Amino acid sequence: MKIESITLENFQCYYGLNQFVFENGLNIVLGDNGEGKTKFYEAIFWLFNGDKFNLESLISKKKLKENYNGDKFFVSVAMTVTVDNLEQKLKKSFKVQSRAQGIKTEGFEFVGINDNDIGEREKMDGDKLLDYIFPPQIRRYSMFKGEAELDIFKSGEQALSNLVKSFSNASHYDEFCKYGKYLMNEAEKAVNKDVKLSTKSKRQLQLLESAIDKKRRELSTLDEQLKIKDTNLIKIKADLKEADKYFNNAKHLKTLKERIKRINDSISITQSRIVTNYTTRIFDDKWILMFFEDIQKEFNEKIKHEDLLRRKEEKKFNMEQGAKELSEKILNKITPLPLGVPSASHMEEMLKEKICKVCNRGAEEGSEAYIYMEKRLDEFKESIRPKKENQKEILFKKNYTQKLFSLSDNYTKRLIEIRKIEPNLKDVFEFNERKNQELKELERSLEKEEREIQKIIAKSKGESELVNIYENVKVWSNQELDIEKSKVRLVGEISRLNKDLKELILEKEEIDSKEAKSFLIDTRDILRDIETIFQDTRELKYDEFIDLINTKSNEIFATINVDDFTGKINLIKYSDSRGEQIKIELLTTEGEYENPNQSLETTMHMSILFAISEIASEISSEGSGNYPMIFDAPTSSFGLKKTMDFLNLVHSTDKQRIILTYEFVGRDDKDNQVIEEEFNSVKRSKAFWLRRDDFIKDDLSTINTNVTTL
Amino acid sequence: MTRRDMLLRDFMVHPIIREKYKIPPSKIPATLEEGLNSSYPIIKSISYMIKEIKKSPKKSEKEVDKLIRKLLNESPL
Repeated sequence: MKIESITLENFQCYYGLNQFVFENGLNIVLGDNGEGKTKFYEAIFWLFNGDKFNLESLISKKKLKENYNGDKFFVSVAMTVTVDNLEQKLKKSFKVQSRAQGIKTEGFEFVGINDNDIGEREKMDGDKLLDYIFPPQIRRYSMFKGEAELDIFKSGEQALSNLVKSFSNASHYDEFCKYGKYLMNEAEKAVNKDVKLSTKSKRQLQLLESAIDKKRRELSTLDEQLKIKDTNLIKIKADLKEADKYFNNAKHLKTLKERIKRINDSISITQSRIVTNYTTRIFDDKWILMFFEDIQKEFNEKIKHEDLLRRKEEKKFNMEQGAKELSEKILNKITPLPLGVPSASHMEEMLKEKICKVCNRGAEEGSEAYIYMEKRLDEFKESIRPKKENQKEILFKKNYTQKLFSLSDNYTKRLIEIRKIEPNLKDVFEFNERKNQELKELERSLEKEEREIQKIIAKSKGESELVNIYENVKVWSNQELDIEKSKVRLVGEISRLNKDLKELILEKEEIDSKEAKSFLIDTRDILRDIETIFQDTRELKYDEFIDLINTKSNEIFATINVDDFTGKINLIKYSDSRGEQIKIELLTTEGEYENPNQSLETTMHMSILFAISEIASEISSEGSGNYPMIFDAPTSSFGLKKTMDFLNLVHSTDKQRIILTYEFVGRDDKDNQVIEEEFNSVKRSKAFWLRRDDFIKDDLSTINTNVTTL
Repeated sequence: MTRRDMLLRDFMVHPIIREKYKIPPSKIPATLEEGLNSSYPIIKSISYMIKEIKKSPKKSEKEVDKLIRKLLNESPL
């Protein structure tokens, strides 16, 4: 089976249609953290395993925002594969409608299109076609997310029997064991029944049987307890082994989280110290007056100028006024009245007698001559009245200039206070600038620490698991000690019970031999032997299968670790309360290698997976046994050099593998993503590069991953 | 060689066959057909069990038990 292409349509961060066209051999999908690698993996996982629930989380938020008006659109994942040169298609899809009341999803379907060998195309149930082209027992060993999932034996219920059922004919022997056991038990019952017919031994046999049953029940209970203890111990040991492996990461994570908390605290404090209430301070703290001194200077200059003008005007006016006064003084004190002008008493006399004695004509009251005489008398009286000095005329009746000077003086006095504003304001701005710089530094540190956390998580386990390890490692150690102590006690009790049981059985066998018919005894003995043969053969076949995986795994392991570790993988079969399991050991010439690093462990698990894949290919009929394998970030702990070596090795196997990795994506001087030069040395059939468009941090609708074929 | 022949061969290599029952190599059957005709009850029983368990539809445990016991009762043990 070969995956020809995978097409994602509006699936999570993949807006619109995005197609990956694959080749045989190694296909590498590059992408920095958060660029869409895992979403791509999840799309394939959803195609294979997804149901019609929780569909909303799969919809591209960008597409959803674009279609907020209620238009319908599709979300789908489609895969085209070829099996024996025939094309098969799988498509899982649903329709989406965004309405005011919320998002409506409908029309979920999983469709298969099968090209049959007579060239006809038929539409069929997707699940059926998927199981036909990519059987579930093989799919189980074909898709892996992260390094932790590569250990297929770690948590597997019935891990060994699943493997055997999928890839070995050893499972045929299981049913022989079942039949053999049944037949042997029936033969035992026949002997017992026959012995009981003898009245002589009946009572003794009953007592023995009862004692044997009791011992067996006790033994079974203790065995069960021991198995549970074993299971728990294995789990705790595995947890502790993992804790040991990841403890430094867990500790580092805790330190980083504490650092992040401190940085966040500092960010909050710094933010709170930055003065942003400028409006208040402009008025309340008189920042508005900061440039007042310049204005005041200008104002002062203008006043001075105005004052100068004023004084000039005043001088001119005063001169004119002085001249006038002088002239008047001369008139009043030196110059005589003009000739012919009568004196004031004469004019009063004439007005009284209503006659002008200058021209000897009558001047009745109200006549023109009478009014003329009155006017001349008033003018004369006015001209001879002495004028007061303080009644002098002045040009500027209000002294505004002086007021302005006073005002300016007042402001000048206040300048001392105002001058303090500028340094204060400068201090505030400098302080804010400094704090903003500090904030940027803190945010950079925060990003750095968060990136570090992402790296740690990618290298090891999820954040919650690491926290769990850090918090529980001591508890697990104590539990391990407790379980080991109680196991010793249980083993002692079981040994004593077994001894007792053996004695009772021997005693009973003696009675059986004496009392039961010989053919029944012979039949039982033969069926006992047959049961032993069946059990042993089954064990042998299981062991042969494990040996086969061991051999193939070690061949691959030796190639991957060509310049490094020279130890061997050793798969060991054991039983616990979950059934038969497989344990993986790493052996050196000095014995078991207790704590392999993550990179070595990943290499080991990968070798086993590739071995299983080879076995699957070999046992599969009609040459369709090459199945693709898909790995999301399987080499996080490898480092660049080892990843390159590993990918080159995978490429040399010439089988279809799709590997998603964040390696080889770096940053240039301007912080733009670039593919590092080292990638040129990686042999591959095809490569893709996933990059997100620029996006707004809190707006999911701006997230869109672009797929570039390299 | 059929799968059933291979199953019989796998069981026949068990040490019990040679060591306890002292069956010489020449009497070890190469096929299921030979096993069904063996004069050794243990070989005959195993052969019948393979035949019945791998038959379609296969016989139940009770049916196989009945058959084998009958076979052993009739055979000179």
